[in-house]
Amino acid sequence: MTATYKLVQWNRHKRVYDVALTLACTGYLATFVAVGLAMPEPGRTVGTEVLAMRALGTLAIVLLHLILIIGPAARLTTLAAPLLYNRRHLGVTFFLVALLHAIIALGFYGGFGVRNPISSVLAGYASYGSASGFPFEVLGFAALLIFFVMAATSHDFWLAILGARFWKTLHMLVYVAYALVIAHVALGPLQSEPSPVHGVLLILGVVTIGTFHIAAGIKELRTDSSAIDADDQQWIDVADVGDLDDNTASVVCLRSEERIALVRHDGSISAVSNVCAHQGGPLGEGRVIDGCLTCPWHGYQYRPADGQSPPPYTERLATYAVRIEGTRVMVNPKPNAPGTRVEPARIAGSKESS
Amino acid sequence: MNERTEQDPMYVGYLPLPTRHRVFLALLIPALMLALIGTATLIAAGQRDPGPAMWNASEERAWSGTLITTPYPMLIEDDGTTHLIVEMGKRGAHERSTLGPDPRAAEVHGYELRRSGRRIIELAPDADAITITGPPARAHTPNELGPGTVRGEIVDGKCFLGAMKPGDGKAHKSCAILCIQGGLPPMVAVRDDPFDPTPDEILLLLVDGSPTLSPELLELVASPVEIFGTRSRLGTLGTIDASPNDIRPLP
Repeated sequence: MTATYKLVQWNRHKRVYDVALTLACTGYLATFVAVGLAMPEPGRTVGTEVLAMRALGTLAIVLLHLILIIGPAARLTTLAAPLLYNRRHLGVTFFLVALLHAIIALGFYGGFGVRNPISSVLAGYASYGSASGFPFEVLGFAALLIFFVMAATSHDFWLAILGARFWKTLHMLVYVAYALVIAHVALGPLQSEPSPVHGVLLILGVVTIGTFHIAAGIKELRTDSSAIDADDQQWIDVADVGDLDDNTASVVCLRSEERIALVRHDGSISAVSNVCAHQGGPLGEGRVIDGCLTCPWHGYQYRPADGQSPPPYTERLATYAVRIEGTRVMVNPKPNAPGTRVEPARIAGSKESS
Repeated sequence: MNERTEQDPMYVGYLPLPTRHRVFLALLIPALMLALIGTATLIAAGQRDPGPAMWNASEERAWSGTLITTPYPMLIEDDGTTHLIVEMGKRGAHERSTLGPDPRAAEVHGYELRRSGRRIIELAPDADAITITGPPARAHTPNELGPGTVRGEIVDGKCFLGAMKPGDGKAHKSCAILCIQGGLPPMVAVRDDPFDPTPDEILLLLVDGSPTLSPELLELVASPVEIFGTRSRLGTLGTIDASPNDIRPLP
């Protein structure tokens, strides 16, 4: 969370994350090259430039799968939150690896000839109607362009400039790029390899990503199935006071697909939008830390009473009026303008901590 | 309302790592590292054999024999051993090889590429990489073997003989096309199995007597094809000469 923009807001977790990521990438590349130089026998091995291209290309695909798994994994278990926290470093690393792969491919397959390297690789042949003649390089290039836009706009500066909704939509293009990458591999390198290992691994990757997304989707549907119909009601009954633990939040789903984060803190209950102003994280799955509702994704914080980030931060959430009738918590489903203070509903018999 | 939130400490990136996350990561990170190394091993070990191709780019050598430029620049040694001649990079050596009427006795300096009995000399960069040494010892005429049909893959000779490993297959298609466009010899790796690293033969492909391929035929490079044409032998080099309509893609 930041009030000013820095290239990277370093902390211990990010450093550990990046060290682990660097070790993982180095280990993968070193293993690939070492095994590649030993197979099938010395003197009859794949050329070093091709080996480098393949090592980088396959590493990029492995990293892309990890990136796409982390999102739904974090929806399924809060244990995956540390993987999500610094995912943009993983994303930028992935892009750089993919870019290196593309540069080597352009240099060696497209270089040293009588044509421009880019034109020779991207427009050298064009039998789009056949699998064996389809220029698979074009698919990889299109995916790389998308990844470039994503990597270039991954910083919070661009998130603020573009707005969370547009930024999120833009970054959802990762699924289009993923499909392009799968087609790039299936219509290119896979056709050059007789071993089923590569195809099986690719299918395994696609199935794994699909499974995580379906599981996360089912979890969301279950949450949605408990949605409360708020049509024409000024107050809706959302919970029993006894169901809410102190310093925690809960998600209330409305039929209108709106979600409200219900926060119990300091003997009172407040309600704010469930959608974090940073990247849309689920605030109702967060906790109250230092008096602020804290997003489980990146730690953005908001005061429960007015939905505002504490100064000097400027993020704001919509707030909702809350009252308690007996032991029932009632919420007015009409959102107030972001940052509007609403008096928290006092729980009878509870004491303020300060 | 959703299920009641657990009371375990929540992970926040800028706060100390909760114990349950620490335990989870202590198990997950080594497991991920092992999975990555296992994946790298599986993929690298599963690469196909690029074949017994050799490019000795570090040792300049000299060869003597008869230099001819038609249908493709080549040097035929006295014992019949035939070397196609190419430039560095993805370019043919027609210009530097044309030093007078065919055939001429010559000495050629360069670097050897070799695969399954086929040989290519990549000319040294020196201006005198080809030196005419006198009249030819004897003229070499193609020994026509008659019509024949072969199946295999059109490759560029230089990459396939060792400049790229592998120098065939779909992933190498754009490179092979660029090489042939630059004047490197189109060759046919004759084999029924497209992944066989040791083709039955490696033939110089001529289309109506020329090693130049039309854009339509370039599309067939690096794909399985069937070629009906006239087969010949020049020194140790086998050739197949076909008309464009007799070069067909295989499914």
